[in-house]
Amino acid sequence: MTRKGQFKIQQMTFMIAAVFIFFILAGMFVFSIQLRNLRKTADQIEQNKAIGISQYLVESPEFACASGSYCIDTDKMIVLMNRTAYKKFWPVAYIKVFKVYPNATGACTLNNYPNCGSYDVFDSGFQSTSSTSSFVALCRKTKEESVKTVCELGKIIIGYKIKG
Amino acid sequence: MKVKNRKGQEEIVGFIVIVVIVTIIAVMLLLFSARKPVGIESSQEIGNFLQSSMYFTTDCKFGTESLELGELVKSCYNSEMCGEESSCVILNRTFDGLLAAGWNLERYSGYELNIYSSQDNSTILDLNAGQQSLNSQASSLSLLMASGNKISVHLKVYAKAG
Repeated sequence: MTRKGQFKIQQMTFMIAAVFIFFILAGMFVFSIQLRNLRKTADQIEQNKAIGISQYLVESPEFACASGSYCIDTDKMIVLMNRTAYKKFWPVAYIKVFKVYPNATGACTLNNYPNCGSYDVFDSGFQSTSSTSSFVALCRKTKEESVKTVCELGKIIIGYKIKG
Repeated sequence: MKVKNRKGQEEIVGFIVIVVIVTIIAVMLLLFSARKPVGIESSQEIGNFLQSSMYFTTDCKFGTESLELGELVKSCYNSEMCGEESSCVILNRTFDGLLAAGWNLERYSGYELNIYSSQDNSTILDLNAGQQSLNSQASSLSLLMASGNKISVHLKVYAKAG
């Protein structure tokens, strides 16, 4: 009878251990899935934050067109390029803008503007590890028969500082 | 002896029932936690593309003034001409170039652009390239006509698998 009781206790112990291990394994599996989702969400939040910064920059008076949002006045931008006074003003590592359509190549300077493809607006020298980009309209004034605005499609690339 | 056997059988049945219940609960929990929202997420990048594109200066000229893309969409809806060329032909050509440059098919699987009148659901422009994939993002933009009619511009971009 005592041996039978011991056998029963042993059987129950094994059962409890098996159930316990099963729950631990299942929990670990669920936890790993949740952790993966959490990392994805963290990356997404970081990216959205950078997109927010790019929108703030595009709408700042230093860049914005008179016509509205999502638009950069390249006449202003070409003058702003490499201004050291802005080194601590923009909370980013670098700002670059390039034409998407129509396609154009070459770095923009005061000499070749507007027949060029990319603008290195600002570089803090900080070694950033990530960047985000956003589509913008690149508008400028031209004078042919009359003064008119010409807009092209471009992209602004914001390099942001990563802690750690 | 018979009583002992029956007791053993009852224990096995009880054990199996517990294992089955626990498995069902675990599977349900897993499915619930792993489930992702099905459908299309609105993408800020696609929205920015549509907004920025509307400023694009097109080849369509009325006198000395070139129309912006947003105006050209409305012009196409009204079946107007840009000189000797239909505004819809220029709209097609311009959007084709913008989309090909903005959503390079080496990086993305494909895209679909639909421009339609919200009032009568008539299609103004349908453009697509590449292939569809399970992972897609989309965004829409509304243009308001002087008549109060709304024109919707809807762009869906398919990501490459893997």
